[in-house]
Amino acid sequence: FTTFPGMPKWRKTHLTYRIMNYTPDLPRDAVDSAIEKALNVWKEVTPLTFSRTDEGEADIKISFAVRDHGDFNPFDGPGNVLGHAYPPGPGIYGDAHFDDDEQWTSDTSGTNLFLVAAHELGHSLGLFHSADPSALMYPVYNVLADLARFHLSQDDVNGIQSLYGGPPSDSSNDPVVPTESVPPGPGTPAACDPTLSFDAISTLRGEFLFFKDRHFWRKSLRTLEPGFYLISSFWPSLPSGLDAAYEETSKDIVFIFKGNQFWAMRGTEVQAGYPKGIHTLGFPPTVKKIDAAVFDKEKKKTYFFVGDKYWRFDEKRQSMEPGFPKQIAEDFPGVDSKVDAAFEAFGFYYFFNGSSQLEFDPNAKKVTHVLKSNSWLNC
Amino acid sequence: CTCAPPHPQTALCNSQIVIRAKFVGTAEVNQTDLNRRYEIKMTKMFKGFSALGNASDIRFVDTPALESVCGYLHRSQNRSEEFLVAGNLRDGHLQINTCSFVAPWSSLSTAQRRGFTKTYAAGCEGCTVFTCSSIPCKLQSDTHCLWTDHFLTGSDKGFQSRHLACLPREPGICTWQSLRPRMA
Repeated sequence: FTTFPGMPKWRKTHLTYRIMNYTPDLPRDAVDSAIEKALNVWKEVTPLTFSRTDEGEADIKISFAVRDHGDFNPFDGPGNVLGHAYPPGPGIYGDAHFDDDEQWTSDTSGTNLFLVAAHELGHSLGLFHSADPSALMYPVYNVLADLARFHLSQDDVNGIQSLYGGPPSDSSNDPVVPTESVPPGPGTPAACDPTLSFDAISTLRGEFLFFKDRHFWRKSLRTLEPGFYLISSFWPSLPSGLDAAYEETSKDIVFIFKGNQFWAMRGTEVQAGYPKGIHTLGFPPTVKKIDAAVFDKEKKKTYFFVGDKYWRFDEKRQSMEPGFPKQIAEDFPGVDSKVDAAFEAFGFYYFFNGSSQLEFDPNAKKVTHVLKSNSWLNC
Repeated sequence: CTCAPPHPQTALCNSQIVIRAKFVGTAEVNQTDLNRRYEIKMTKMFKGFSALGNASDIRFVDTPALESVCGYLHRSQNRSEEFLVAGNLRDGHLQINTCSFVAPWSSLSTAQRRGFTKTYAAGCEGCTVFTCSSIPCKLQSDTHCLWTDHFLTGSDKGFQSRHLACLPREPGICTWQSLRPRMA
């Protein structure tokens, strides 16, 4: 990434924007929502917030124009230049202009307004162009972009956070396990940071998902490099800073837990009726959150870890089993600290605590390996 | 600034001026209109004789000073390297931007050089390189040639861009034609 010479940036975190006029190519609400979505891309990874105004001055004024349009930088008809924007500052600075000789669309049949707007608004916030072709701030329109899977590249996140820092941390995050990870900046965990810990881990249709704050790594055994995504790019309605996750493979559902709520997802679709309260599963009111969960495919039972105890849930009967909770250390000898995250693979259970990981053989009932937590991320 | 880079034939057809030139001086920025001006030495002109009128030489090329409003940044320090520059006239000055076709002459394929020198112009009047922007896409006219490099190679430096021109085959029909040298 690069920033403008002198690193101009907004000296406030709340910005106003105004949509000055509309393109005839799209209904107004489609323009409104594309712009809002584009601003959200940046809002998610910074402390910045945006509010819309319909009159008077605004920090970021958005307009559609053809050819000469009042600045010294005329547009050029169809193709070539699609839009441009000014770095932070008063007056024309911060403003974004779109060439209305393009055919603007909500999908990718023409020029997608959201994609161009997200890039231009990056300029409005102080980002320059990136030389990284996978970055949103790369200056060439990406015809191959998959809108459903849109996410900022790490380069974009590093760039904007070098100006504004990360988003305010979620106060409901568990304060018990402070992770002392340092670079590359707040809120963007590095896979190979030796202190890396995870919030939750689940399998998903043969792949592994490692959740951390607002992001997750997606690791498939077929590919060498894990992918790194914003949780919201797959499941817009999910919160960040998750507590626990597991896959009920026979139902093809991933359950995700945070606080006293949980969600059910099939692929990228959140199932109707969720979130539900965790107490509907049979937890007593004293349980405020789940630390980790893992599903036993063979017995069709799910283990829930809370503090130094665990519960077992019968997925077939949909009820908590009697006689629980039990002490973790009693039935999982060697697992004697709190569990941050857990999952099952190749017949082993993997338990995570901070930056260390235990491989547990449920048949032998013993710990078979001690590993670094990030051993799955090719570190 | 966001660009949809053109096929070189489109760059030639849609630009008023197409020249070969060396960037000889350091750029100067006019603080009033935030314009960056590069001093150039034109070595050949492919298009723009009539547009240029009496001003027989082009000594400068202008671009916005800010990259975010599509200012072109010339990175090469080599003052003897020749560039193909396609741009437009504005108040008598050659204007280019980030999205313009500007490339070292030596990086162009034989077909592209032949195209800029002579062949692309034959397609300007009656033919259109039609950019496929998403799949499926289909031709809207017999005079269109479907440009799909973005999908096949993920970049604009694809085969159609490097080797083909969209030219009239018979009245009312244009097709991609290879400008590659014929093998004996």
